[in-house]
Amino acid sequence: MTLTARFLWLCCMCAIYSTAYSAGYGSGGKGVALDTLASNSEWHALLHFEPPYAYGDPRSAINTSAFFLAPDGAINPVSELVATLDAFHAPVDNGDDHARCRFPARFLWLARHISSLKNLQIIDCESYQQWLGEKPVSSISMVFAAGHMKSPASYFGHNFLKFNTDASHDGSRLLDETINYGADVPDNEGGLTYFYQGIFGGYSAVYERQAFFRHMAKYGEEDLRDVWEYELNFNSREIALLVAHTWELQQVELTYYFFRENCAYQIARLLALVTPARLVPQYMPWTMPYNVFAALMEVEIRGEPLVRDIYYHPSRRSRFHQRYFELTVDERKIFTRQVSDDLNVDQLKLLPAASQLKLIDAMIDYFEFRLRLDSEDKLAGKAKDAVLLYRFSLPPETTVKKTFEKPFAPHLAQRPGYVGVSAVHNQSFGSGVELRFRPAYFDFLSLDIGRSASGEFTVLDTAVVFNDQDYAVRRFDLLNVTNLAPSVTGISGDSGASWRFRAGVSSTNNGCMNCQRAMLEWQRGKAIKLSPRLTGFLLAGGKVQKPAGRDNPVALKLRAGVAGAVVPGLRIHAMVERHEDTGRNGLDRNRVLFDFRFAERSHWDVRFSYKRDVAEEFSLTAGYYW
Amino acid sequence: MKAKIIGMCAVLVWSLSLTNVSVAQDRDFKTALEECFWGLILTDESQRGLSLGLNVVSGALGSYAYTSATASPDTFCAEKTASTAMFIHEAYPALVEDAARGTGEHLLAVLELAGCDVVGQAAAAPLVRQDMAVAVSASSYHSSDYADKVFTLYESVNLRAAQACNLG
Repeated sequence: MTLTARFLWLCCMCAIYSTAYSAGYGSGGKGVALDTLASNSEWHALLHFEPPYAYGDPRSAINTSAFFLAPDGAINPVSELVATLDAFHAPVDNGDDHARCRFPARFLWLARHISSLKNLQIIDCESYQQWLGEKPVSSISMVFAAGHMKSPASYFGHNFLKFNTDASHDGSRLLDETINYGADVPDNEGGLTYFYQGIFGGYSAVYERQAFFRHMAKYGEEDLRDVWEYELNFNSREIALLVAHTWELQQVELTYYFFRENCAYQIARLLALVTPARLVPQYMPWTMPYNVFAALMEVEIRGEPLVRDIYYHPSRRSRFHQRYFELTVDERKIFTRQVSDDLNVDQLKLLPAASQLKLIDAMIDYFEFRLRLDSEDKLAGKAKDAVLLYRFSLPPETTVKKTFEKPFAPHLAQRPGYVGVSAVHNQSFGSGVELRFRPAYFDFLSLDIGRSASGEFTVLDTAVVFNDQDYAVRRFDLLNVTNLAPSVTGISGDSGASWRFRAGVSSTNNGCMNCQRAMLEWQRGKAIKLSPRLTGFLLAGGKVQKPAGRDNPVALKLRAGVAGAVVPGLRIHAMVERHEDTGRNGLDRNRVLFDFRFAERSHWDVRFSYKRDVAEEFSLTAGYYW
Repeated sequence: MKAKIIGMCAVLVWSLSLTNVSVAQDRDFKTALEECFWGLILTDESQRGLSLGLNVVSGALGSYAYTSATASPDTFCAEKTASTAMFIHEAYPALVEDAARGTGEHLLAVLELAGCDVVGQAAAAPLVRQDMAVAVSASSYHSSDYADKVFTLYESVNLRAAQACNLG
């Protein structure tokens, strides 16, 4: 069929359907024009049409041609609507293959607008009914798995949808189905290839149906990440539409983009089917799970909050910490003795039954936590089996009693984007103004909600300073990560590796304005908890950079500091660093930094900073987070 | 591991040899469980380690019956036994902890997968606890392969569910 012929056919079909559906067959007796239906945002959501900025002309994000019934359905919502209506009216041969069985969400949605569709012959969609299962979905949750540092894909967290059935008991929740969105990455993909392909759309992605217990086994147990569940206030029609649409998405492929069209984006876009609220910013070149959950909390549906309830599923690590801190001082001493020396559970028999149970539960979580960190930890494996055996000898529980305290939920976290304006006075180049910007993610002074309690992780962190004569880019970090993993309980095995990595361009010291050099830093060390919210650290390593002035290409660095909250409303990052230049006439020196942050707000703060690195510098900063 | 795989191959070959004749026979329930479990583990271990890569997790809740052990191995396995096996395989540490405590969301969930209603779960949980107490107290328990431990619990869950949950 030529293009002209196709156009004429389309116009003809539009006219026929428009006439038919406008002539009184529409919803409630009111006619509905096809072009009106085809421009409806919910129809676009059903077809996964993206706003025009992304591709020029609007087009669907779905690459699978079988998802479209019209030849140009991926770029033309009108022709796809016409083809869909055509297919819905086709004779019924094999139920499962009929368009109404393949596209039940389209049918549900169109039947609301074109009432005559309800009069069509009922089709037995056997496969679809089987897929739906016996237990109806009673609500839908959006789930957040906290970020962690094991792999770049997990740095910013992950989200997916969970279809909740009427749980008769706690265990039923584990059997609920979920819809996950993820890239199809080949095994053993190299790091650089992974980044390149992820950023520039080299991977296909699919929506995948999995039982919730699989996510909990992966995130909560294997990765030791807390999981949060935001239950949404959808009615039965909206739930049915979303569930039906996920059936339509089986075996369709999209293109994965690490920064914007990632899991946070595509899962949030699914909800566009049932709420007009914009959960992802239209013109932002990246999408982060935190932003989606923050946006969810601001949405109302039918005059009520969209988020009905928030549930917390603690990781193995968090369960151990909570159980440990529920022990009395004496019980903690016993716990420490038992897990530090050779385990002798018989000694527990002398304790009251309640103490025995608390200690045993804490020990089970502790040893399993250690096994998750190191599956070859034979001591932990043996000890866990001994503790389990002892637990078998005690009376059984008959009800699931344990509930875990819910910490601050991730939507309350610091917004990841930051822009700050500082008044600066520098001993060397005088007074000026500094502008600082980063799209993500957090630094030492950020609120410790929804992330590791101390550390920093910034991407594209940029600072530009202006004085009355000149301006200079003082830092441009591609990536700056400090991972501090102190032992929260003080028990051995409860800490991880502490390290620092920074790559970018930076002034070599405070005493110069135009002395930027590309540099790479790597340090490793130890962190300890000084108080529940304050961490001390010691890191040693090196720095490689292009030579500048008396700074040679390689320097050794030793850094000691503290980071965290001193009192409510005041956070601190202070450190002293020894810089040992490896060259003959290198500039050895001590660097000192004191950073203070006032106000524990997710959207703004005020900071005061003192730095000494060749020259002294003071600054006062007003910051805004988004 | 090599010996383990050879052993599993032997079980699989043996189970396949049964396939041709077993449909018409009343096969032993425990044997059916063994065939299903080791067939799944073997197929999957050869593909991606110790994680069962099945996507059939939602199927047939509540429809399993004790008598379905007399169906062909494929049918038997494609029903909830595969889901139960996968659940236990992925959540064994949490399950054995629940068994030690006497209850817990993982233990209740796997009993639901095995076909027990709430009353049945309460009846079956103490029986699974008894079985696992014996298993964990065995001197060989600590050195046992993970898959063997998983199978012990899998067998207990299915047998105890059949016994306590009026399946049939």
